[in-house]
Amino acid sequence: MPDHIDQWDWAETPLGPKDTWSPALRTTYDIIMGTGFAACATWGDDQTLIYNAAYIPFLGARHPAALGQPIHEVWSDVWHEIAPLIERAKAGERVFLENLRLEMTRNGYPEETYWTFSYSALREDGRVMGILDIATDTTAAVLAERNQALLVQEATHRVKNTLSMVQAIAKQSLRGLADRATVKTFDERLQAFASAHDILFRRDWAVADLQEILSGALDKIIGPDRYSIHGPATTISARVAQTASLLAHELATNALKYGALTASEGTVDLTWTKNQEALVMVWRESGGPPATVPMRRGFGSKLIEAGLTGTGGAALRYEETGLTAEFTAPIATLLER
Amino acid sequence: MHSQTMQPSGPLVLVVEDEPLIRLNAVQMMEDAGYTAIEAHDAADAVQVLETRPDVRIVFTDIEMPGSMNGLRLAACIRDRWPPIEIILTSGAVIPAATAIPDGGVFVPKPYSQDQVEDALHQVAPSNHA
Repeated sequence: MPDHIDQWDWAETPLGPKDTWSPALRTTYDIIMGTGFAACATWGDDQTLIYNAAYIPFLGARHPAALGQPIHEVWSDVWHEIAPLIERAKAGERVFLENLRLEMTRNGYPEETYWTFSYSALREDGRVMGILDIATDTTAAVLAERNQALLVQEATHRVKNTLSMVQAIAKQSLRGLADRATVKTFDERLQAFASAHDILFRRDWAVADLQEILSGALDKIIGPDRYSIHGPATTISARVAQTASLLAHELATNALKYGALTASEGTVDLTWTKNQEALVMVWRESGGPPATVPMRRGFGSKLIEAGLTGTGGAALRYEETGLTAEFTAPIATLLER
Repeated sequence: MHSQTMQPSGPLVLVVEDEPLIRLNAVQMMEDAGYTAIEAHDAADAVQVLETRPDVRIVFTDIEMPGSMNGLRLAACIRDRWPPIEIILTSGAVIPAATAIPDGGVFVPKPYSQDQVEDALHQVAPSNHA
């Protein structure tokens, strides 16, 4: 096809025979024929269309009749959409559009296609002669991205369905063996774990925001009015999001059962600071009874001792004013997968 | 223990869920909450049950189910054919838009706890026991 376009006889068009073209038009033509991107240009009073082989899929059945025709005739069906863009380009603006959706019939049936393209003015001796359009077909990338979003959605759905099944198995197995409070504790831990997935889902499973994860877990148990949360924006990995969510859940449950939140005036402050090496998060309860060392060290205590990233770094102080728990995590571990 | 001896006699709930384990567990949850439960494995099955059981007061349905009708379409169908029936929707996927939930309907995310199920049941139709 490039040969075909190269051999086109321009003499029949308003541009005239190629050997009579101005240097500016000649250069424009060489640029278009030389690039691997889909490219076209318009030139002269009739805005005659010149394009390369890569541009042919754009035209579909309009090719080869479109070669050398006025652009407004070639694109008559979508001219009302294109004309304003061309006018802006001619006025000197760099028009750049990403992933523009165009429905095209290029293989005999209507097809959803996406294009990223740029229009810019072409000049000769300072006078605008036409526009240059360089484009690339981004259909495959756009569809792949959409597919990825669907896969993430499906994966999240499956994870939560699987957790529902784990819950069903556990509850039915524990029936008659465990009391209602024990089953409830299990239910709530499983939910804290599952809720982290909702937030991860919104971020495509890559990363999450620490505050969003912590308040997501806390809101479920103690409600937004009884705690304060403050710290610099911190991105955490999906893995850390899960342990952080469980940690917040255990701290909140304990505060409600034994700690500051047993008193109506009791509150919790959750803050964190960061430096080059580490993030230090402090859970401080106040307004409740004095904190006491728990009689037995259960699974909840172990979850708390596992800290923010599940590898330790927890320091618990049972004070007169209530529990203060400090969690230190090396910055590098926050994004570990 | 809490439920083995209890004879459920509260409002009748139809549990619609394609996954047998989750369905079994949901039925148990309804009974533990003092409601009576019957089950259907998809939306078409649920419609058949509703046609023969005029005493169903609440439909508790999953949204993602195989077959031509998902839970949202089942809910719309119930609103149309059996307006007095209360609807509770559940899903492990994204929370549906408020406009997709029928009037008076309640949404419970998966995995749901006994408390969440009971809250939802009490919200739409209080049990005699509760």
